[in-house]
This record gives sequence, structure tokens and C-alpha cells, in this order.
Amino acid sequence: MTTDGLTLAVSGLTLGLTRDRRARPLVEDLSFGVARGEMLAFVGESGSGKSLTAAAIFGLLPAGVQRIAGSIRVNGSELTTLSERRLRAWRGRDMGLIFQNPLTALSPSVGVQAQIAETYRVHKGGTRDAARARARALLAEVGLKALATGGDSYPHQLSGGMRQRVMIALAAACDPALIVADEPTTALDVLIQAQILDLLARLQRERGLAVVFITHDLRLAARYADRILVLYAGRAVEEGDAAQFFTAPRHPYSRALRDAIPTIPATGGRLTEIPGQPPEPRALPAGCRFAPRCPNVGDDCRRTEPAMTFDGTRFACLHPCAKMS
Amino acid sequence: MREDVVSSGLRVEGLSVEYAAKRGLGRTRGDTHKALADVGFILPTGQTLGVVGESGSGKTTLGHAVLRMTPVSRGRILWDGVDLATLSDRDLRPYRRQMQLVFQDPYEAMNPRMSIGRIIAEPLLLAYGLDRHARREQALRLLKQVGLDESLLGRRPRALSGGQRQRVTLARALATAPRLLVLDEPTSGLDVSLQARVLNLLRDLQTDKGLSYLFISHDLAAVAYIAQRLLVLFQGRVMEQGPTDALLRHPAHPYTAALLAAQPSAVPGRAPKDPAPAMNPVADPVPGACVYYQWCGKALPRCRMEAPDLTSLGADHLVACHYPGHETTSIH
Ligand SMILES: Nc1ncnc2c1ncn2[C@@H]1O[C@H](COP(=O)(O)OP(=O)(O)OP(=O)(O)O)[C@@H](O)[C@H]1O
Ligand SMILES: Nc1ncnc2c1ncn2[C@@H]1O[C@H](COP(=O)(O)OP(=O)(O)OP(=O)(O)O)[C@@H](O)[C@H]1O
Ligand code: SF4
Ligand SMILES: [Mg+2]
Ligand SMILES: [Mg+2]
Repeated sequence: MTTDGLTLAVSGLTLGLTRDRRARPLVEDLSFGVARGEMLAFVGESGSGKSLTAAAIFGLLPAGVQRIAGSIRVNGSELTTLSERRLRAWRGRDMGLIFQNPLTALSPSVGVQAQIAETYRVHKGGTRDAARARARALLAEVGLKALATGGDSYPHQLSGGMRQRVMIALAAACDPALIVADEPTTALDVLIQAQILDLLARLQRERGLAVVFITHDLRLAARYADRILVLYAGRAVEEGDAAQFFTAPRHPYSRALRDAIPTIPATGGRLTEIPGQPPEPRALPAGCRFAPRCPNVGDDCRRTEPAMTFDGTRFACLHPCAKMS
Repeated sequence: MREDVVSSGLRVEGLSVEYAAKRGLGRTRGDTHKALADVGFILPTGQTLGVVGESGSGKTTLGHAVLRMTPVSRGRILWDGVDLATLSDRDLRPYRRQMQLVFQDPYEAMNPRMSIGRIIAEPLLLAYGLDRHARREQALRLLKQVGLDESLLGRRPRALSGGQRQRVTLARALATAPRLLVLDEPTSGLDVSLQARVLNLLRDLQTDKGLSYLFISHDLAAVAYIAQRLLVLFQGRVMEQGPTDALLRHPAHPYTAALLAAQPSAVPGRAPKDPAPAMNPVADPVPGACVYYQWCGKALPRCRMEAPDLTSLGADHLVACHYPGHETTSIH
């Protein structure tokens, strides 16, 4: 993979516990890139390392977890060697993070116009009036015309969907190159979910944003993203074009994730479950991490950890699914 | 709907629930907010009714009202022909065991200091006063029934995954051998593989025990999998009701169609060109108009003048729309 021209280029990212350096990593040797105007979706079960990867990009790893190896470049600049002060300037200005729960990121005691204006002024300077005007324009752009005019509103006065729109306005305030959205709609109903993701996709197109969209729902990934990266137990197992990926996944885990989803109208049959559970980071199996749950497993899988290969999509599997399934 | 269909099972007629209105937004004291208005349905024994609608549409209120966990302003809740809405708390007690609620958020519903065994067995103590040994025995049986290992018995809720916790709540609800379960978003916090497991389990339990489910969700795909019939709520009113397959293949109400369009489909493709309709609250309802009028992409002048009644499209399919299933060009 060439990293030229990529907005985000991550290579060999490995994250592990600070206290126990010999423990197996939580995220291992992860490499991916996102171009300008492109959306990449991270998909995987709970605990697969999606949020930790997002946190690592922003230099916001939780206490107890550290980066062991790997490089993270945004617009060609290496972020892992920046001081905390320089990194803080990058966050908010060049890249924005959107969480599942906007209330963790919004200040409860400041109006939303004022919060967006403040973020803008900190990073871009200018007068208070100009910042306030910018905040109003952003709120209108994310479909909150009522909040853009007149007095300011506090976060607790808004519905969940409105708060998430405010988060998007905040993340986009300084014209960032990159937005990472970590399960931005998990707490919302389907209508609001569609509105929020439509909005994100529109900003991505209109502003040429690079977007990383984290979800456990392969349907949402297929609907909105250009490419999909599937994580399993801290490792990338498949990466490819969203449409092709959905019709012909090569890795048995990707296929299992797809087949577990109920369809409309229902087929009448039982849903396909993925047997067992993902392994704990402390108890990873030898060889392929998916082997204990895999329908395609062979003896070799329990000895050899498969490497990424390319055949239509990039995948790491010794006995991949047929090209058309 | 035919009178003779339900002698056993649940039949709800004209159910209304009113809450004191939140103040502000130009409302005065003493105003009420209709969380449910004139809702009716039939749930035959051993079947599932799916209740869908956006956040705030009244789904949880409906589940709670059926279980008499929230005061009912008007209407009848007929359970095997007995009107639960008129019973005193005391007379209601034997029925409470037959109907159980499975919560939206299993973690919040659990006491974090109790062991899983105690959480499951608590209703047995309350309802039957079983001794410790018998309770443990029952807890083990229930745990097995929901496909969990007995090693979980001594653990605390925090040490369980989301899917395991959801199954523990289910085991607890099954403790009193209920006949009806109200399942409030039982899978919405779970990832797809755990959702598949819980949905399959619910189906198996229904087949084994002849349970009836009131299954509340805003995920139409989950509902399509489990429910024979669907009830679509908008602002506390029934917009459409009928066999799941018919509703999802040919939604007659524009709101049902909007829900369906917003549903992430299993067919890949880029984001749809038509954005989902804006469901944010608009100022005040237009008096006399259809409740969906201000949101509707198909509204015509009649929709502003006259609220549509729930009318039959045949074969147990009801819809509250003047132009069901029609392609119209909106006046908006
Ligand atoms: N602060 C921490 N200390 C130790 N381990 C952690 C910490 N945060 C996360 N982990 C572990 O790292 C792994 C990856 O976690 P992560 O939160 O990235 O998963 P995720 O894919 O985002 O899951 P979800 O879908 O549940 O959000 C998990 O095994 C988790 O238990
Ligand atoms: N105890 C209460 N007091 C006053 N109003 C209430 C109360 N409970 C619910 N409401 C109001 O009644 C309406 C219906 O709420 P309900 O919780 O039944 O919706 P829901 O469809 O379950 O939504 P969600 O999908 O968000 O769970 C909402 O407008 C809500 O604000
Ligand atoms: S390498 Fe083997 S065990 Fe791993 S996913 Fe492929 S077939 Fe399954
Ligand atoms: Mg996460
Ligand atoms: Mg609810």
C-alpha cells in the first residue's frame, strides 16, 4: 500500500497493556489508509479493538493501554512523535472524533453555539462575532436551523439525534481533513440513525473529508462506506470494496457476520449464529484466532497464523470462502 | 377484526395513556400529553406482535400499560377475556406471574452486588417462597434453558458480556413460568452475532412453551424475524397494523414506508438519494389534521382538514391514511 496522498495512513499499529508487556497485544500489526473524500468502515464484534484504534489515532488511549509499535500519519505528518501540546492542536483542527454518547464530549453548562464558536476560535483565531457566525452556519449546515437562529440552547434541552448533529458540527467546525465516528448512532432509532449517517456521508462528499466509521453492523457499513475493514480479536482479517465485500466476502468471519443479520422480508429460516465467543486477549488460540469458531477450519489453521493476501479483497485466511458465495 | 378470534390470549381495545405534560414550550399546568391514544390489537396465544415506531412513539408505554405498570386512562386489556384494566392490585396479582417484562437495558435493571444466581431466583422467592436449595435448582434449570453455563451462577453482572446479561434477564423473566413476555428492545444493545443468538433463543422458547410475545423494537429486521403481526406507532397512535409480511412487502402507510426506507438493508449500495424524512419535533400539531401530516411526503389537502380513521384494507390489515399505498405528489 502506498501512503502517498492518503489523509490517514496507519501502518503496523500494535497496542498493548502498559503493565504486562509480555501479554499478547490488544491490537496487532494493523495497517490501513483512508483517502480524501473516502469512507472506511471498521466492523467487528464487541472487543475486537475498534475503539482502541480510534483512540490511538487521536493520542487518547485509556490509562493502562499504550502504543507498542506502528506509525500514524495524517496528511503525511507523523503523529506518534508529536508532543501532547502539538497533538492537542491537531485534534479539533485537523481531525474530529464523534462518540456514541455526545454528552461525554459536550459541556453541559455552555450553550451549543458558544461551544462550537469557542472550538473554532481556539484553533482558527478571529473575532468572537466571526466565530459565532461560523457556529450558526455550521448548525444550519447539519440541519439544526432552529438552533442556528435566536438564543443558544444547552445540550440537555436537545434530543439524542439533535445532540449527535451538534457533535458533527463541532467535529467539522475547523474544516478537518479526517473525522472518526465511533458507533455514532448505536443509541438512536433507525430514522434518526439514517439521518445522522446521511449527514455524515454528505459532508464527506461535499467537503472531501476522510471518514473512519466504526460500527458492528455490516449493513450500515455496506450502505455508507466505500471500503470495509473487518477486525477480529485485534487483527484485520479482511479489507475490501464495500459492495464486493458484501456479496462475496472471502474470510469465514466476514461471511458469518453477514449471515447473522436478519433480512426483510424474513426468509423463514433460523438466523445463522457464530458459535462460541471471541477469545480474551489473555487467551488467544495458537494459529488463526478465528479457528475455534470457524466452519472452514483445517489442521494447518491451528498451527499457522495466516498472513494478509490479496485476491479480490485483502484477507488473512488459509481456507477462504469461494469467490462468489 | 373478528369478535370470536380471541378467547385465549391478549386483546386490547381503545387503550389510552396520558401523562402530565412537560412544562415549557407554551404549555400550561394541568395539560396532559397523550402518550397513547385509542390503541387496539389482538395477540393470540403462542404468537408475537411486533411494536415498531421511532423513539418517543409510545412503545414502552404500551408495554407497561398492558402489564398495568403505568396508569391507564381509558380502554380495556382483556387477558383470556378478563379485563385487567379494571382489576385491583390484589386481584391483579395472580395475573402478574403470567406476564413478565424483559427490560430495554439489562444492566440498569440488575443489582450490581447480587450474584447471577440470586438475580434469577429472586422472583421465585417473591412469588412462591421457595427455599434456598429449590431456588438454586430452579436457577440452574433456567440458566440452562437460555443456553448459559452454570459457572455463571456465582458471578456478578459486571463480569458478563452484553449477550449473557440479556439472557440472564430472560431467565429471570421465565422464572415464574409466564405465558406472555413483553420484550422491550431485547437486542438493541447487542452486536449482530449476539442478536442472532438471542432471537433464535426467543423463537425456540416460544415453540417449546407456547409463549406469547409483545416484541418492542425499532429494528424492523429483528421484528420481521420474530413477529407474525406488526403494530406501527407514531405519536401514540396506530398508523398501521397487520401481518408482518404484508406490511413489509407493501407498506400502506407513508410512515411505515419511511421506517422501512431508513432500515439499513442487507443489499449493498451507496447511501440513498432521498434523505430520510426529518422526524424532529415540529412546533405544534395542526388541529384536526392527520397526526403525520407535517412529516408526510405524500400529504394532500384532505390530510390537513380531516384526520383519517383506522380502516381495513382486508385480511386483518388496518391503516390510518387517506391514501394508503398511493403514490401522490405532496402539497408540502
Ligand atoms: N483501558 C483498558 N484497559 C485494558 N484493556 C482494555 C482497555 N480498553 C479496552 N481494553 C480491551 O481491549 C480490547 C479492545 O477493546 P475496544 O474497546 O477497542 O473494542 P471495540 O471493538 O471498540 O468493542 P465495542 O464494540 O464493544 O465498542 C478488548 O479486549 C478490551 O477488553
Ligand atoms: N413517566 C412519564 N411521564 C411523562 N411523560 C412520559 C413518561 N414516560 C414516557 N413519557 C412520554 O411519553 C411518550 C412515549 O414514550 P415511550 O417511552 O413510551 O416511547 P418509546 O417508543 O418507548 O421510545 P424509545 O424508543 O426512545 O424507548 C414520550 O413523549 C415520552 O416523553
Ligand atoms: S485460517 Fe483457517 S481457521 Fe482461520 S479463518 Fe481461515 S479457514 Fe478459518
Ligand atoms: Mg467500541
Ligand atoms: Mg422505549
